[in-house]
Amino acid sequence: MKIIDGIDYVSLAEAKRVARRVADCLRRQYGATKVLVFGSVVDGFYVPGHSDIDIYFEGVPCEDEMSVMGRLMLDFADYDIDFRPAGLCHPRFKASVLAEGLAI
Amino acid sequence: MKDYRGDIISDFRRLDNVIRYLREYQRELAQKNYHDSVLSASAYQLQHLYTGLEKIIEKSLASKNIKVEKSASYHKRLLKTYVENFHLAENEIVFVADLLAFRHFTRSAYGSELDATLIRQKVTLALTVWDGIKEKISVQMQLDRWSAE
Repeated sequence: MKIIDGIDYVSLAEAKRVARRVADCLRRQYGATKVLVFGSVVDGFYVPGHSDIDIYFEGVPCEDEMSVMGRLMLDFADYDIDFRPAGLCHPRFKASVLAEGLAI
Repeated sequence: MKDYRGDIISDFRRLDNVIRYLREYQRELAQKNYHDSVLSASAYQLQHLYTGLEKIIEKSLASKNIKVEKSASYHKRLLKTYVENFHLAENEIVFVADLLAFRHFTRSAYGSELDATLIRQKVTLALTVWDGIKEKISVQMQLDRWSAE
């Protein structure tokens, strides 16, 4: 990640690598059973410096989802990641992510 | 280098009010028939606590000449730098991470209903660790020495 004029530049290749590292962490450390990347990283509209990395996860106990999200935000502080835990998603949003997301 | 200790003391005083509100709401949330507005009020005060703590962290790091470059990931890197430099206990790190996630959640999931268990959990955690966080920053920034000067 490079910061140029106040903008975080992350290439698409790096964004995909980070998404895989996050997924690995979610499964190994927090027991996530499903991790999907969705949005611009998979739909071809990713723009370095403007797009974030959208990650959905499920399988983490509901009461722990927000804390897990916070820990990952600290651990991956250099990256603009939009975490969407299953228990905190609106059902309609969740359905669209499950339909369009890519398992990682 | 600017000495921010007076500002930090004043920020802590303002946050004392936030903590007082949270204590009151914690008592109300423990009742069976609390009003739903107590949940929103608690969330609002938690947001205040996050914002206030972030201001204090900014000033504390600046006083120590630790720079965090501004960008979209600034808030997260700021808190990470704080965690690394102020030797936080595990439950204090959980609190910081929690506030970070809560802020992210309320910004992206506005309009959704607040979960009572979640809010209760966050209020309790905040009230459990706050004195320790305040003490740690006060000691590292030598706030008592500034007050005496």
